[in-house]
Amino acid sequence: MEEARARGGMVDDSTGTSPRATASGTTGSVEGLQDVLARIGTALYVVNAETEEYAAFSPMYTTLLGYTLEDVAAHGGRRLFLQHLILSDEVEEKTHGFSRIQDGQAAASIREHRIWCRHKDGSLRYMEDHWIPEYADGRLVRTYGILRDITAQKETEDALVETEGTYRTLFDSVADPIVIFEKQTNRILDCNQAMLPRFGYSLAELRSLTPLDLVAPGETKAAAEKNIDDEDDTSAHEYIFLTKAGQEIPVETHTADVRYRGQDAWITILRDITERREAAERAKRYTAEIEAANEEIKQFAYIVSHDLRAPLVNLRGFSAELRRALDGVLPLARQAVEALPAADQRVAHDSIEEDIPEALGFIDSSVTRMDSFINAVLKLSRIGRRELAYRPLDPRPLVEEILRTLAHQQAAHDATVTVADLPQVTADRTALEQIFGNLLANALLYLVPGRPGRIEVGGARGKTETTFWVRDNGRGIAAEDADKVFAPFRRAGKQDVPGEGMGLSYVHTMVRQHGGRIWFESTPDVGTTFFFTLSHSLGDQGGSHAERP
Amino acid sequence: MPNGHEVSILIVEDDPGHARLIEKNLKRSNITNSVTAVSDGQQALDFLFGTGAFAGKELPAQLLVLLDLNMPVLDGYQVLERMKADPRTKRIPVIILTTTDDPREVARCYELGCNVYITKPVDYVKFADAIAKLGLLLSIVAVPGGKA
Repeated sequence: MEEARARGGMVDDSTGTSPRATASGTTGSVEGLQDVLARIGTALYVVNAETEEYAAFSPMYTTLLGYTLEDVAAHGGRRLFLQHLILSDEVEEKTHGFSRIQDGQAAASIREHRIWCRHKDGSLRYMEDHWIPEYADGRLVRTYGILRDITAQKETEDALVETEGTYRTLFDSVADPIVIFEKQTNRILDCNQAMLPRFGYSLAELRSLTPLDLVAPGETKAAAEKNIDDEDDTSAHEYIFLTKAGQEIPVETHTADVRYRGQDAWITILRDITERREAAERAKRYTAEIEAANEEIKQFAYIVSHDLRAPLVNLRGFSAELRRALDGVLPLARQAVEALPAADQRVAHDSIEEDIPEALGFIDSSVTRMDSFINAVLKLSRIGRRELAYRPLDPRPLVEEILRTLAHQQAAHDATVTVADLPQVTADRTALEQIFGNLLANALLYLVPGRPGRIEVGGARGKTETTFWVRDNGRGIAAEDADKVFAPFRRAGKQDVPGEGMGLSYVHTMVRQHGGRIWFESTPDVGTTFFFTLSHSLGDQGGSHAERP
Repeated sequence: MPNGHEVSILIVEDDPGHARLIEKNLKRSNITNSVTAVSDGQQALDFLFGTGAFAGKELPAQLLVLLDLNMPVLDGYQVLERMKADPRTKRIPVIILTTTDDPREVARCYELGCNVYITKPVDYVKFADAIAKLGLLLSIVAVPGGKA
């Protein structure tokens, strides 16, 4: 504020500027105020009601709005210069100010109004004007007033109103229901817009309830113990809430401490977790189903294998008994046959020399095949159940060791096997040996006779998994056989190579246990490349020990 | 082969074919001991504890049990468990004779206290051989008394 040049004082009739001017009121006297007003740092004024002129004012009265006594004099001295500074569009405010008079008829009551004024520097100032009317014989003779600049306070109030508005908007636009309730009684004080349609109550209805009234009966006690009475507990809790219509809503609550209109209160966000619960339930159910199905498959393979073996023991055992019995009677039977007429001899001879041994032979060979199938299924189920020990290892020496055991087959097919630098991996050693062993043995087995075999083993470390491959220049796999390659007991192409058709099924199972995939690319008569991947996130070692050397 | 031990043999086997094959092969191995065959675990316990169909019958002084694992009513594990838990039967030798060769099951049987575990091979020669060896075992091993 501009430094007060005005010394304030009593308005002089002739000049309007004299600090020693006498009051011109018809009744009473403002004499003696002079010294007080001159020293006081408050904007005080006295107005003669009849003439509507200043009887006196303190220097602060003019300096508050940037004016000097000279300015006041230029304005007409005694006349109420402040009136000219009041912004016309703020008259409403002034009226409003008057409307706040608490005791309008009481002679000494303090009245108040607030007005927007224009400071001499052009800025707007919000002024609070308190005044006391002085009556004589029922007539207003004088008013004594104090003027205060409350612009800063007004700005703070406006900011508060704005902030309140912002928060209210935020509060109401949150999609989750929010409820505010009194700490002492738990009575609901307020809620946001989302609360009303979700729970079906009106705000008035809610205000007669507590949050505990909204919790499903079985959960009330837990809610009361866990959440609502525990001041330090701001963590999330889950409860079943009930709508007015009785519909259950699973809710996750987050509660915090607030002051609400002067009350200690809780603010609680009620997040509807119906979908989350359903998703979790579904996930749990699916996981359980998968686990059950998996267990069933394991049990199935296991039970089938053993239960199928029992009748085989009998088939094999009693066919052997039959053979033994036959061996016992055969010399006698042959003698008896010789004694038969020629026509019957033929039939009897065929039966004992051909039909019976042939039947026993088929039974035996079928039992053998059946037994090998059962053993294969059993092995597959055991591979699936085996606990794997994942260790970081260098595949190259492992592959070279396998190749030493296959040296004979390599020589037989005139095959050259080249092994590139293979990245380190985390894997189960036995499983990796079997995977490479199967793929290499297959590559050698299915080479084209007469064409020198070329087999390459390679690998590349990727971001999440390491890929290995075994490439051959063998006979290849026809596109229509692609589905059979990894299926148990199925064998692709010409059946001229012995095998039970299980090798790649085992490999498939083992690769899958390593979180990997297996596939192949093939051109008939040109060659096949089998690829498989091993995941880097295996065991506790993860990929940390499987760094490149 | 002479057998002075007078050991009785209890075959607990639900597959009548298997039971018959075991008996035949034991006989061929010159095992002439008395053989009783029952077809499930409950009957085996009845035999051992003199209940049910075997009520009032004395338990043979010397006994050996050939026990299958996969059986209805009570399975081989349960029979083995009950036998080893009861002072009257816990010293009777038990030979598991079954199709199962799963290592975990073999281990479980030994844990429960079986004396020998023999897998029934599908290969009949091996099967007969196993039974023959069993016969040999019976002829040379003194079986402790059935009663504790």
